[in-house]
This record gives sequence, C-alpha cells and structure tokens, in this order.
Amino acid sequence: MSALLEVRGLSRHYGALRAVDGVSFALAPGDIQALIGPNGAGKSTLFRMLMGETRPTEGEARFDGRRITGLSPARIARWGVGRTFQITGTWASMRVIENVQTALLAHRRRGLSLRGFATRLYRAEAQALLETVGLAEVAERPAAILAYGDLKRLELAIALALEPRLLLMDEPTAGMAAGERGELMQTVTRIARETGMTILFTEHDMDVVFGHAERIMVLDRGALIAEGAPEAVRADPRVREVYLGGGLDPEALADA
Amino acid sequence: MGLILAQILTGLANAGALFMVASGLSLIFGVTRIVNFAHGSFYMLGAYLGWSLMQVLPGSFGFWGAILLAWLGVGLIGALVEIVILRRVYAAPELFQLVATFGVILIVQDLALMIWGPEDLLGPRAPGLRGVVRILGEPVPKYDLALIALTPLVALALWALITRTRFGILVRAATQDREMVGALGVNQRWLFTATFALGCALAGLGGALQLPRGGADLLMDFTILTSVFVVVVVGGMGSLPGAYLASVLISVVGVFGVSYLPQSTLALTFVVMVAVLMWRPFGLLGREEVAGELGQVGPPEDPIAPASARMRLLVGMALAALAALPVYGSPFALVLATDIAIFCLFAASLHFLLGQAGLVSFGHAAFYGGGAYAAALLVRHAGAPMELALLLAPLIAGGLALGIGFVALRASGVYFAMLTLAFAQLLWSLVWQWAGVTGGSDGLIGIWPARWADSNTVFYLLSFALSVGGILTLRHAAHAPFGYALRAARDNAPRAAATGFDTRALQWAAFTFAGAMAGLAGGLFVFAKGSVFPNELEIARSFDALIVVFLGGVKTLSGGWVGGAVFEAGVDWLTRFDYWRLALGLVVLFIVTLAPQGLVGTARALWARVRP
Repeated sequence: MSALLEVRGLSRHYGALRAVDGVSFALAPGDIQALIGPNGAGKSTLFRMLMGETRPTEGEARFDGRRITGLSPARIARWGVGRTFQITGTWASMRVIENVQTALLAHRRRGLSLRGFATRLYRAEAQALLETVGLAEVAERPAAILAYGDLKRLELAIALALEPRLLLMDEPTAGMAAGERGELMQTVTRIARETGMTILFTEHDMDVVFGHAERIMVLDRGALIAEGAPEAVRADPRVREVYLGGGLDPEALADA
Repeated sequence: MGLILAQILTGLANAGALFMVASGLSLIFGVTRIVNFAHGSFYMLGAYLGWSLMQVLPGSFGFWGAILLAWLGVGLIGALVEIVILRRVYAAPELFQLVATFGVILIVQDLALMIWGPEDLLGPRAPGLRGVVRILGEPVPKYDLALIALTPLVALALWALITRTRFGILVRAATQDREMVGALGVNQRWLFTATFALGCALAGLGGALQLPRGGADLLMDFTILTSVFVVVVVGGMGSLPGAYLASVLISVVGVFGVSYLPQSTLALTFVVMVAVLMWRPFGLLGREEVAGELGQVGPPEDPIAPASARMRLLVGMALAALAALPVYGSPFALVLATDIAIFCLFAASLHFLLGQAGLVSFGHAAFYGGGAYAAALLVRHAGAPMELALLLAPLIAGGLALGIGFVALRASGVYFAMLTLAFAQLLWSLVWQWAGVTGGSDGLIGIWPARWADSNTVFYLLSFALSVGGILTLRHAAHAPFGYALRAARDNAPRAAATGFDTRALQWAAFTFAGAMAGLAGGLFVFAKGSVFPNELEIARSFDALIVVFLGGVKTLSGGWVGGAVFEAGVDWLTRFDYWRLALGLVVLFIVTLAPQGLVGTARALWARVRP
C-alpha cells in the first residue's frame, strides 16, 4: 500500500523556537486521522506547511508521490488537497450558494473566464453540496449573516467542492454547539468512506477525536510523541503526561 | 575623485529635506495608520511660511529663527488639521482617510496661491553660509555642508525622542499595537494629535531648510511626494533608520543620474526601487506589513445579482434617451456629455479595480494618460488613422498595466498604493523629459478625429457607444466567473488560495483589464480635445478618479459611473471660479465626513428607509 501523503522530517524553526521539529508520518488512502496536542504544540504550523502557506525550514511532504513542499497553496489545492481553516474562511460578500459555486469555478479552472453569469453556473451541484452539509435552507442568504457553526459547514462545502483526495481540517468543530459537532464529523467521515477521501484533522474536543478518528497522532512541543489506534494512544503514559501537564482537562481524555 | 566626492556631498545635502519629510510620514503612518498624502503640502507650507518670516526677521538670527518658527507653525497647522478633519475619519476605511488628506492638498494649494501668488519665490541665502568651500578642488556650497551636518542631528534628536521619552514609548507601543495602547488607558486622541503635529512639523522643517537651495513654488507638494513615497517604500514604512538610509541612497543616485544620465534621472531612481523591492518586498529595514484593509472595512457589501428584465428595460430606455441627445441638446451640451461619457469610463475602470479586486491604485492616471499619449503618438509619429489609434490605445495601456502590475503587485496594501502612484509619476516625468517625442510641457496638439467622426454629434455618439460598451463590459466582468474569483481573493485571500485560485494572477489580470479600459477612455479623450498634455498623467488626475469612486460609493456596482457623471459635471461648473480647488477640497471633506457611503450608497440607504 503506497502512501497518499508522506511527510519526512518536516521542521519549522523561528530562531531558537522549534515550532515543528522533524515530524515524519504517512497517510494511506482512506485514512481518517486526528492530530492532537496541547495549545502551541505546532499543529497549525504543520498544517500551514502541508498546504504551502508556510515554508518549512527543513524536510519535505509528498502527495501521491510528488513533492508538494515549496509549491503555492493554489497549486497544492489543484492537486487535490482541500483545507478548512481554524478561523473560518468564507467569502462574506456572496450568498451562501455562491460561495460553493465559486469554489466549483475554481475547481473547473474558470477563475479568469468572462463568459456567462457566475450565479447561474453549477447551481444544482452547489445545492447538492449544501444539502450534504445541511445548509440547503439558507442557500440564498448572504454568507455574512450566517451563525458561526453554519460558517464552519459552509467552509466544509467549499472544501468538498474541490473533490479533494486529502482533506486537512484545522479544528473543524471549534465554536460549534456540542450536538452539531458529532453531526458534522459524521457527515465528513461518511463522505470519506463513500469517496475514499483521506482526512487529517486537528481538534481539541476529545469526544470528536476519539469518536471519529481511526488513528491518532499526538504532537507536543513540535515533535510527534505518539501515533496509533485510539485505544493505544489513550493508554500511552507520555500522552497522559502531556495532557496532565499541559493544563487540558485530563478527565476529557479519560472519559472519552 | 573630487567630483565624485562633491556629488556624494550634494546627494547627502539633498537627502536632508527628503529625510525630514519621509520620517514624518513614516511616524504618522506608524501610529495612526494614515498615509498622509497631504505631507507634501505641509512641506510646501513650511517653505512658504519660512520665506515670509525671513522677509521680516533680520540677519542670521532671523534666518534660523524663521526656520524654527516655520517648524512650529506647520506643527500647529498639522494639529489643527488632525483635530478638525482626521479625527472624524479614523474609524472610516483607510481609503477615506486618504481621500480626506487629498482634500487637504487641494485646500492648501489654493490657500497658498491666494496668499503667496503664482510666482515662484526665490529663497534667501543663509547669512554666513553664502559662499563655497573647495574640497579636493571642487566647489561645495557651505550651506550644503551645514545641511549635511544638521540632518543627522535632527535624526538623532528624533531617535532620542522616540527611544528616551514617555511620548516615544507611547509612539512605539502604538506602532506595535494600537488597540492595546488604548486598552491600557492612554489617551489616544492626544497621542494621535501630537504624532501628527510632530510629523507635519518635520515636513515643515524640511521645507524651510531647503529654502536657500530651492525656494518655494506651488508644485513642490507633489514633487516631493513622489520622492518621499519612493524613500518610504525603499527604506521600509515605519523605520526611521530606513528612512535615513533610503533618503541618502535615493538622493545620491539622483545626483549621479543628473550628471551621467540626465534624460533618465527618475528612471534610475525607479530602477533602484524596483531592485530593492525584488530583494526585500517590505523595504530595506521595514517589517512585514499586515496587508491593507483594501477599502473593505465595515460590513461586507450586499451580494450582487444580474439586473432584472425590468431594470434592463429601464437602463435601455435611459441609454436610448442619452443617445438621442444630439436631437434635443445644444452643441455645448454635446461637448460636455462627451467629456462626461469618457470620464465615466475612466472612473468605472478604477471602480472595478478597487471595488471588485480590492486593489487601491493611486496611479490610475498612468493608464488613462498612457492611452491618451499612445493614441496621440501613433497619430503624430506613425500617421495612424483614428480607428487604429483607438484600437491600440487600450492595448498599449493594458501592456503598461501588465508591466507596472508585475512590480507593484509584489507589494500589497499601502505599499501597493504608493508604488502605483510612483509609477504614474515616473511616466509623467518621462513625458516631460522626453520633449523631442512627446512635446514635453507643450503637449501634442492637432490630433483630430477622422473626417467621418469630425462633427460634435458623431464624435459624441462614438464616445458614448464606446464608453457605455466599456462600462457594461466592466459590469459584466463583475458578474462573470472572473468577478467572483476576484471577490473571493479580496474577501479572504487564504481561503481563495486554498480553493485553487491563483490570487496574484487574478489581481494581475484585473489590474491589466482596468488599465486597458482606462486606456480606451484616454484614447477617446485625445480625439475629443484634439490634444494631450502631461497633466493627463499627473497625480491630480489619479485622484480625480479616486474621489469619484468614493463620491459614487465603493461598495456598489454603479458607484464608478454615477460618481464620474456628477463629478465631471460639477467640475465643469466649479472651474468657472478662481479658487475651485478650494471648493472641491471642501466638497471632498464634506463627503468623507458626512456621506461616507457615497452617493449611490447613501441614496440606497435613504430608499431603504423611505420604502414601506
């Protein structure tokens, strides 16, 4: 089985600070993997490096056998890596459905086209994606007035419009109500199972992590300290120590 | 050897005034986040005030006393401007503040004209520093040496103020994080006022100090502004050592340019700037600037929709009524309507760039004037017929935009804005200096339309058709996939990139597209007037377009042409008065402070209130 994403010795140093330090791992097609760790462990930095938004100090990432380190975010996205942001990114001056239509435009490489009216393109497809994430009813509203949880869903629809083979989600459920979280993750994992999409996500909510990830990686102070099935990670004494010492509620880990 | 040293000394002396103006600009930007376009005006005021004071105060004491008083006086005027005008616009989008400072420029220009008259004033020589000193056989004016010694002293005093005093600590803290300083209970209002006054005083000092070398004239506000922008961009916004380093670099390069490449002095400066930017996009000593607000502060605009069938019918009827103007309009009305149609296209092209792409260009006249000169030069030197000239004008202007965009889009926010302005000035100075081809300040005259389009009626119809066609094309582009991609990049660039949009390529395309449309307007302008002069390329023309976009409203699709029509008609009426700049400046300030949504936005808000 060849890896879809292969990360070797990826590092990002800011002066003496090693935000990410020699991280190596691999994802096989269809994997649903979580990346956890206390605040400041380097999760977001790692994501930004994978997506080409931050240049690594050392190391490389390969997607489907091709090196993506050093490419622009747009190139990496076009090769099939989708992404959602920790601070939700949508296009506020457009309607909800237009956000998805615009993502479909990007996917079809029509960004420079002057032909036709964008609001009339790919409507059915966009509507279907909105239905998938549960936003069909608010399709015609301006995106600017959506509640935060709905924005998270909309961003997911935007990312899914690219039909990514790998989806990176940076805290996909942060800021959502507890009930909504499981729902959203179920939607994503269902799509992943149906389409063979691979998922890597970070998350602070341990219910979400242990309820949906097949494998879990733990990052602490820039380095991977554990990787494996949820049961093994939960039992790992180093992980327990990080979370006990890191100020995060240890009960969350124990209860999950 | 001696000559080279003498030239370096001249460069260092030139750097004096430049540094003082640039450091003031940098300081004000750091604390208030306002790019003070009126900074050149304060420099000019310093020179004029100093000149007047030197006429009354006697001797050596009088000379230096006048400079000191000019310094204080301009500082006070700066404080007044900050309290009366800028305080009202801090909360407004970045662009409004710029337009407000441009209103100040217009007012100062006319006030200076009223008080000191149109003649250039010769600066008095400094008592005791009249002659020259021979260094390695070359004559170096004594006053130059005094300036060379004085500039580091001013820089040092400024540095001490910033690093050693409580005021300086607050200034540095505010430069780092404005909100935090406010949250800690510092009275921001007075910190802003004090900083603005200090920055203006520095500009005034620079203006007064250069009197013995350059005197005072009404053009010096814009002349220094270009150099200052180049210095600030090269040195890095907000860095005092950077401002000093860049002032010296640019001045010395300038002096050598005058001796060895007299035709391309400004071009040489720009080569240096481009080289620095390629190497360090945020200047020699600048830090990475958070990208500007792109004129999109406040609630996002409402989603747009293609016009309904009823709206199309209405617009079609209105256009038909306008096309029939020759039937019922006077010859004068036809000429005015032609001017308005052309200007509307120019304004709409900038509006597209600003509104859809979020790119704030301060040098859009480069493409309007560029198109105009392209058409005129083709007719004059290649004997091209009008039809060909009108076809090539937008293409050449578009090519120009392609080149300028390549460099300017390496930067973003205020850096981008200043770069566009600097490039427009470069073009303007090329046209001035290259008189053999462009006619210099005499312009190119006698460029008339082809015989079939010779009459007012036919040329009006031609301009009307091309302008309306251009405006509709721009409008369609906003609704087309291209417009949505541009707004995606503007609303949230990281999201757009992660969705596969090459945001820079999109912006580059928008810049080129808008440049080509402005070029078409410029081409039409030449044949409407039969001539073109360098002022079609100057800063004031770029600002006309900016004011219009604000007048109309940035966050509306029709803001560009509505503003253009009102502005052009208004200016036609205003210019009958002697001090029309003053009036225009006041109107600008009025709009910025009282109707910040622009005409279309305000009308829409009123309509929403009235509608049941």
